[in-house]
Amino acid sequence: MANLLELDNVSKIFGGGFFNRSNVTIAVQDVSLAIPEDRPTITAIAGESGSGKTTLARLLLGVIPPTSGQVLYQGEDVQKMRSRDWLNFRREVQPIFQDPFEAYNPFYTVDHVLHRPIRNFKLALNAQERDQRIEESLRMVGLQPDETLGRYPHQLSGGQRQRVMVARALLLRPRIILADEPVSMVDASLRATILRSIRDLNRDFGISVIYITHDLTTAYQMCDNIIVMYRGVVAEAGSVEEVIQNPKHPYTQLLIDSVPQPDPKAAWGEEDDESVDRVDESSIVTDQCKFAPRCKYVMAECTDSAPPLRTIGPNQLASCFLYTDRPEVEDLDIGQSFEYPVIETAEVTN
Amino acid sequence: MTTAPTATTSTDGADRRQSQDAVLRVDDLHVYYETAAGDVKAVNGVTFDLRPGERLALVGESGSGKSTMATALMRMTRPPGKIVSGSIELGGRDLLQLNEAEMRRARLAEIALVPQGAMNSLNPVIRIEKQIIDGILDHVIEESPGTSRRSEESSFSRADDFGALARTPTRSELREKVADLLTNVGLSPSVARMYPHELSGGMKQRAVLAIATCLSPKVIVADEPTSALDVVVQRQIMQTLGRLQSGIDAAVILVGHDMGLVAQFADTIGVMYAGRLVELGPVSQIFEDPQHPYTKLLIDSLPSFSQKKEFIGIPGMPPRLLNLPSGCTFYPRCPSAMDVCRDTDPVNIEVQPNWRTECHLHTEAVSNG
Repeated sequence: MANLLELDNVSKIFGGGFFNRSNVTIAVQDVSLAIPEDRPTITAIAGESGSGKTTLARLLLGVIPPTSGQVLYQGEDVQKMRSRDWLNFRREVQPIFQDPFEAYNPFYTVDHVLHRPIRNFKLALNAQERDQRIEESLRMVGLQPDETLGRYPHQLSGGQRQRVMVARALLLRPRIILADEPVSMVDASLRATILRSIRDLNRDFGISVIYITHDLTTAYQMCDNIIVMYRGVVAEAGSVEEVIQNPKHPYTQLLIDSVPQPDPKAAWGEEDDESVDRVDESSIVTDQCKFAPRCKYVMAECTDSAPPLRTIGPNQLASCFLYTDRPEVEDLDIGQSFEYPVIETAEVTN
Repeated sequence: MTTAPTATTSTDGADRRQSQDAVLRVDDLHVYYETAAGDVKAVNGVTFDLRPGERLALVGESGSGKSTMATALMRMTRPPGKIVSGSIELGGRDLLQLNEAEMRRARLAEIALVPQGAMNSLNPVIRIEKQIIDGILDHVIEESPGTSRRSEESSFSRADDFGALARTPTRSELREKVADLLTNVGLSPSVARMYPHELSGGMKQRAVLAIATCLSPKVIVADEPTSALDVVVQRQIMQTLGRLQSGIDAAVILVGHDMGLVAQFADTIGVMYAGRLVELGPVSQIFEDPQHPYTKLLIDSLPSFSQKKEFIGIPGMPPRLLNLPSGCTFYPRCPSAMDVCRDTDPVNIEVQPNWRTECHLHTEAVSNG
């Protein structure tokens, strides 16, 4: 079974340099994951700020080279691609960014961002075919072409702007959409609409989605699988059902406990010991569990070496010394090793 | 529901007696932005009461007027914004009638703001200690030479009703006060000597909380206090705010759009739409049985861990606040819209004691029943 997009033991280290080896930031450390080719999936990469999730996105898009390891697209190293393959990769893996306000040039109408990729990738033979394609894409994300085209970005709402971005990605008939916090800048009421249009792309057009977020509730609602990152390492991974409903890593437990549930009866957990702000970042060395300084279950071995990922259940992995009785994961392809539960949800119409 | 507010309409003076003990009473407040095209009615007739120690959350989409409310409560509305009419009574005095010097003293001492993006509201080149002390010293009234120092009084007791301090605190008193405040918000006293860039986002937010509570205000207005923070830190900050608030028995107005946060923190929820409070009542009851269709849609659109469901958005867009049409402002988006909604303004109806909504669904119920 071939993988569409794959990270093979990828690390990314910023800073340092020849004379200053001590001052480095390990943004991503030994992460492996795979997006399978044979079935469309939605994978969440979740974590707080500083967890390395945006660095991971930039590695997956091939815009920054990894310090070690490889990013593979259909088995080929993205960094060593010839120009034709690189162009193909750039077409088939499409990003959607966080801020729909900054993605536009305010001097052009929104048509500009839709015409540009068609011209760059020579997707249409003439203007008529181009316009037809654009209108089709806009309708797919629930926008009316005549109400959208010809307008300037400031004339559209944040939600419409973000949906035009989804339509732009869709124009290129991508195989993977990588959405980096696509709804963190829009209102809660619009969030649902945008996430639904992204999810429909997965369901209706077979596009795999990588959803990068700090919001575990939308990740749970939308995704099949989730990877929880902490300071550049994978803390826990697996199907969302397992990881969210039955978290094993103390960090995942803390995260889930902290999410304010929109239900006055589901009370927040008690205030914890406020240890987070006291952690001195420079004291965290690489060869220990990075969560150890904040962990309430911290043991002697946690500061001696970094915990490897272990298989907790059929659809769940965690890197924590609490589970030393479980087998270590070998030859790791996070994502590849899970069975994907197909979630059938009843269609609700507005 | 002893903590819930009693909403009164401007025309309904009889309701006043119920809310004699309110610490803050906002009555028919109008805040407009004056533009070349006309007045943008960002806050268009908001009325509510706040009891001591109550936690009220104002929620709504962007453009609903909730941040304008927050700045208006502090009387910090800037041009082109203008407080057009209404009153904001704090401890029995209308803030809108105070002169600038009195208002300046009332801020921080009586009503304090935790601003939006509070982490960026600290001065980067001044130590935390001085930023806390500055606010305190600004409340000392200049003593005329020759008057004896009233040193027998506690240094932080009030000289008048506007929040002026009785006398200048000594250096060691200030240092002690700063250490106390920092400990209270969960920071080490050594933070006093640090600059903002030496602190993490959560620590900066705690420092801002220390400033906001330094003179034990009666009301704390928190405008999206955790919008830029991670969930773990968010919970800590909100719980710290809750602890501080009950410690000094201040009321809190939390402005935000995160309904999860509201459910966890507030006692009372006020839902704003197009500059009006369309529903106001106790959190637990409104989450169970929202009365206004907009509140219901807001609650239904929330994702949670409890069950996987289809994402439900709110169709349409908020109305433009310039030249609002007559009738219910939510009418074009409302799933239960009726003919009457198109041209008649809904009136404020008391569904239950301390629970009000503005919707024709309830007008009907009242007139039929």
